[in-house]
Amino acid sequence: MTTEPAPAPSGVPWRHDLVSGLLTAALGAAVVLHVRTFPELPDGQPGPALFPGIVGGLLVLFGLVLVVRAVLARGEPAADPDAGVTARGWLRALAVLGLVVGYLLLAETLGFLLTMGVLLFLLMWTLGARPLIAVLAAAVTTGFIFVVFEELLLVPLPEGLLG
Amino acid sequence: MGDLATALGMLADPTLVVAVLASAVYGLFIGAIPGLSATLATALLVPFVFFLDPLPAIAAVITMSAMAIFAGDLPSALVRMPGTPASAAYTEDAYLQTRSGHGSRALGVALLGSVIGGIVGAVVLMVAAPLLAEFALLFTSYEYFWVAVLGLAASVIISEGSQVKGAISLLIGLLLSTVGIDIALGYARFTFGSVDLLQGISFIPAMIGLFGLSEVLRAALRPSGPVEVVRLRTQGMFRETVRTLRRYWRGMVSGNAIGSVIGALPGAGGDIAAWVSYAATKRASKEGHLFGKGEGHVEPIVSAGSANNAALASAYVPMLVFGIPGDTITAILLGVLLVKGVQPGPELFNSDAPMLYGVYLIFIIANLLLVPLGYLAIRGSAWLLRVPPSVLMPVIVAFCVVGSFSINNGYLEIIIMLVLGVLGYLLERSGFPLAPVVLGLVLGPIVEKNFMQSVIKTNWDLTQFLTRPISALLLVVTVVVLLYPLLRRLVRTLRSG
Repeated sequence: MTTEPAPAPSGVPWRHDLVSGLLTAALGAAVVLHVRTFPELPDGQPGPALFPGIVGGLLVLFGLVLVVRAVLARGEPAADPDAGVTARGWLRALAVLGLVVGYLLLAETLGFLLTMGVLLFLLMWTLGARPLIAVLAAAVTTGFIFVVFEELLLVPLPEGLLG
Repeated sequence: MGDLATALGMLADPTLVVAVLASAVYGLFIGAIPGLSATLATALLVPFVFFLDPLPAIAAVITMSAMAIFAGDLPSALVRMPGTPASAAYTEDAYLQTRSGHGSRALGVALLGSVIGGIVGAVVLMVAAPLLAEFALLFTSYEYFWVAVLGLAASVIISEGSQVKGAISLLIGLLLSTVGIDIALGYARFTFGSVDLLQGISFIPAMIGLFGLSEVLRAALRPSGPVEVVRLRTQGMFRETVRTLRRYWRGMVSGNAIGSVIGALPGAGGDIAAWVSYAATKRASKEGHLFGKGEGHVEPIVSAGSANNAALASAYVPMLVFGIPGDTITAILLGVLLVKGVQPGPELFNSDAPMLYGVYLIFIIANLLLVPLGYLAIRGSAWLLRVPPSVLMPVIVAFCVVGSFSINNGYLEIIIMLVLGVLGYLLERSGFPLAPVVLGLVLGPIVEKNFMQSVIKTNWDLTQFLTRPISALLLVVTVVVLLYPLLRRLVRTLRSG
């Protein structure tokens, strides 16, 4: 038998697990406190609060188990989950989220065609596509989505200014 | 036989044929792009199949996923990156085989292995599902409660990585499922005053976020540089492939068996099946020491490459019989069927036989269709892999946005997609598996509904959950499943000690 190094319990640093566990337990506690305001069934039996209450309680339990295991696993080797992510990477991820948020904010006023076309171009350009390709791809995609959803599937996409 | 004829008639529907062909091409494309999984492909396909009848919708998902899981092998062999997680187990072998000039054999084996695996999985489905359905007809709300609990327990036990984290993932899914009007009193839970949230977290946008947006975020954070594609010669590919499959028929048999069993377990899909099959083949093979080294080896591609497709089909067994999904793809499909008012379960086997035969036939047709289309994909793979991510990623985000919106023509769905996309990324980054979240989201309402119905029916006589014979059996199985990791550890300690 060759001796293979035992993998870390979860592969992420213990500090991450500590934070995850504390957040989980806090979420569970908040749920347990909140469901106490839910009404009971007429005969005094638990109703709407029962199921989320159990889930909340278990979240507290497993969150604390994770905390304990993280503390016990202190000092064991683990891979950094953010290894290889550069500042540019974070920027690109923010740009992806930017398209969704931008669409939420602008679509109703500017309409689907204008909003999606411009946001798609900006995102492609940010991710490194050449401007000409980005313009063409953004236009084709926006047109394709419009034809498929608006014309074929009869989804009323926002019209905005162009409507 | 009349039902079979009716089923064939249902398959001749032009909408269904177009849906199958379009989803086949789509599946090959998404599957071949490294980093985009078959689950993402399913989530993005849902807004389209949402507008179809149940059978064409199921047909589109089945065809698409069979294509995507095979196509995941293409970038494995050509650029050493698995196209879907289901190919990850044997990526090294496929790539090394290609580097040493055996690329067309490796991909040919992957293709025919996938076809055979898919058909074997479908046969397992045809045999096992009706038998189990007969048994499931005896179920009442007590038994459905236990079956759902069993499904949830199994999804935690077999989740990748730590089981504590699997349990937390599951609880997060269950918690999300309680948002909205409750079943007992119609009380609005966790809606924070929002009228739109009264109907709960809309399932389809949640899936698009968890598996679509989160995967794009991950890909955006770690851009892959320009890839160097190895050229392939496809002459004589099929002759060599058939010879290889005959030589390693044992691997084929074990791969199909392992895939069929693992696929039917709730929460474990093609990727886990492929890993288990790879490990089993390595242990059984005389040439196991050659796997993943030097020139690589074709044997794990035979076994694991068919195991993932077999798992894909057998995942429909628990989904059709009990309404408990076997993997993330069937979980998403189940969510769609429930929204469309189709409740899978044993009654389906009595009342809607043509639809079931239709599903069986689709599996066979989809896998036969994989032969020519997969061959074309192998020929065109170099081209498929040159699509720049800088264009593709934004296009996927656009479909995430519009797809979520189209479910209810509302912006709340886009917000749900966005929030769950970020949540999905954060969970996976911190080592939490995503499959239990989906299972919790789908099965949560089933567990709660059957529990509340049972206790209100009997005025809180909880002993009914323990004393009914089938209930008691399911309870014992659940306890065994939950204790399995402890038992295994105990056996190991006893053996070594």
